[in-house]
Amino acid sequence: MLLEARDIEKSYVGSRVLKSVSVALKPGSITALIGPNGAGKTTLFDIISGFVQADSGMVRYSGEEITRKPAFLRARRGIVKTFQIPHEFGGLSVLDNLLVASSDQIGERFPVGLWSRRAAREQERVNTETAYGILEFLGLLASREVKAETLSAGEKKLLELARALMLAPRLLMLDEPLAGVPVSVGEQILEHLVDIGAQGKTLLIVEHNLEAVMRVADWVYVLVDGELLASGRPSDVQCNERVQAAYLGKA
Amino acid sequence: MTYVYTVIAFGLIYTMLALGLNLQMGFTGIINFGYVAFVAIGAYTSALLTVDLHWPLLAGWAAGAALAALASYPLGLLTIRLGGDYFAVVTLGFSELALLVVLNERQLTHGAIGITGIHRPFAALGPHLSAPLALLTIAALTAFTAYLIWQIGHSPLGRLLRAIQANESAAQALGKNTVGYKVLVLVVGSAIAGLAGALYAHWVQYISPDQFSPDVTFNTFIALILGGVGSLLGPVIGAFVLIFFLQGSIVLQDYVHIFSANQQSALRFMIIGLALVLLIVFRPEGIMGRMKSRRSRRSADVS
Repeated sequence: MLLEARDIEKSYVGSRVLKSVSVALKPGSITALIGPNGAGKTTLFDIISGFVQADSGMVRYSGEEITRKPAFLRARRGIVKTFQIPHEFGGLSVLDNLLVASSDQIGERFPVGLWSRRAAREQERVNTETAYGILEFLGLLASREVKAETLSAGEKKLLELARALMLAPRLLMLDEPLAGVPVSVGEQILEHLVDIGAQGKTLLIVEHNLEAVMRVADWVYVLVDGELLASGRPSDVQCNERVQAAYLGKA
Repeated sequence: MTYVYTVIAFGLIYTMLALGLNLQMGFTGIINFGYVAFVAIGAYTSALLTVDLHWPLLAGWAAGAALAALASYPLGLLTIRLGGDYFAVVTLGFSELALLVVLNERQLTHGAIGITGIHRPFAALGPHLSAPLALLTIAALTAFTAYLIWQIGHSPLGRLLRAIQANESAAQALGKNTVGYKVLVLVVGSAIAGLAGALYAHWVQYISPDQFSPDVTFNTFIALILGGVGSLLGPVIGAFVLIFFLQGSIVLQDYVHIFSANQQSALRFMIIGLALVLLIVFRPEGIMGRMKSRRSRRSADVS
C-alpha cells in the first residue's frame, strides 16, 4: 500500500466527524472517496494531506509513519493536494503559478539564492520547460502570461491541477475536481485524470459527481456520517443496497 | 545648508525604513505595527555601544542591525502563526513594551534623559566635512538596501513571497515552509529597521525614548502607502514626499502666522490624512503603483 490511514478519529466541538475510519490506497490506483455532504470526506482528506490533525489513529505513507508531519513536508514527500475552491496565486501569471510550485529552488534560498544566480537561472530554465510541458498537456499554454486571477472557473481548476503536477507527486489528491466547472471542462478534466493515472501516479479523488467518479475510479470508499459504509470496485459499490439507501437513493 | 542635509538624511532614513516595511507588508503581507521597536533597538544598541563602550562606529551599526534581527526572531517564531490582524496587535504591544523597557531600565538606557554625544561618521574631519560625508554614507547604505530588496523582488524568492501573500495554504500544499519564510522576512525587515535606527541615532547625535513613539511606525506606513505598497521604487518616492511635506510645513511655520504652532502641527496631520484618503480612493496602488497590474487590469477590462 502506498498510503494507509488506520482507525482515524476526529471530533469538532462534541460532534464526531470521523468514527474509526480506515482507508488504504494501492500504488498506481485511482481511488474515489464519496458520500453525502457532511459525511467527513474533506476532513479525512485533510488528515491525509496534513492540513488537519487526527485525534487518534495513524497515517502511513510508503512505509513511514507521517501522522504528525506538517502539510508542507508531506508535499515534499510526494503527497500533493488540490483545493475544492481554486487557490490560485491571483496576481502571478499562470506560468509563475507553476514555477513557484517547483521544489527545492536555489533562488528561493536566502541569502544564497541572491549570489548563486547562474545556478538559479539554469534551474529556472529547466523548470520552465517542465511547466511548458504540463501547460501544453492541460491546454493552458496559450494563457501562460495571463494573470491567474483573470482565468475562468474551469481554467482555474486546470491550473490547480497543473501546479500540483509540477511537484511530480506520487500521490495526487483532488478535492472535488469537477465542482463548479462546466460539463465540457469536467469531461476534459476527467480525461486528464485518466491519463495521469495511466502514467502510474496514485490518485485520491473526493467527488460529488458519482457517475463521473464511477467511470474513472478502480476503488471506491463510501463515507456516511463519519463511518465507512462500504468499499470496493465501483460496480460492486453501486449494487450495494446500503449504499443505495444511504446515498444513491437520495442523490 | 545643514537643514537641507537633515531633510535629505531623514528622507533617506525613511526610505530605508519603508524598504524594510515593504518587504514585510508589500511582498509578504505581514502587517507589523511594532516596526518602531526594531528601529529603537538598532538606535539604542549602536548609541550605547559607541558612546558607553567606545566601540567603533561600524561595529555599532552592525550590532544595531543584528540585535534588531535577533529580537524579531523569537517574536516571529511565537506569533507569526497568528492570523494577520492578531499579529499586528501583538507587534503593537511589543513596541510599547520596548519603549517602556527603554524608559525604565535607566542603568542601561539612560531612561528619559536619553543618550547624548553620539558621534557622527567622520566627526574627526570637522562639522563642514562630516555632514556631507555622513550623508553620503547614509545614501550608500540606503542604495545598497534598495538593491538588496530589488534583487529579492526579482528572484524566485520574491515570487514565492508574493505567492504566500496571495494564498498561504496553497503555498503549503506545494511544499513551502511558509512559516519559516515569514519569520525570515520579519528578521530581514527588522535588520533593515535596526540599521536605519542606528543611522538615525548617529545623524541626530542625541536619542531619547520619545523619538521612538508609534508615530515612526505610522509615518513609515504612510510613506509606503503614498509610494505604492509592493512596488520597488515606491518606498523611495513615498519617503521623500512625506519628509518634504513634514519638514516643509515646519519651515512654513516661520512665515505663516494664521495658526498657532499647536494648530499647525494638528493641521499637518489632517492634510496627510486627507491626502491618504484621496490617494486610496483615486489611486489605491500609490504614486508608483505596480505598472504591470495596471496594464493587466486594463486588458481585463477590454476582454
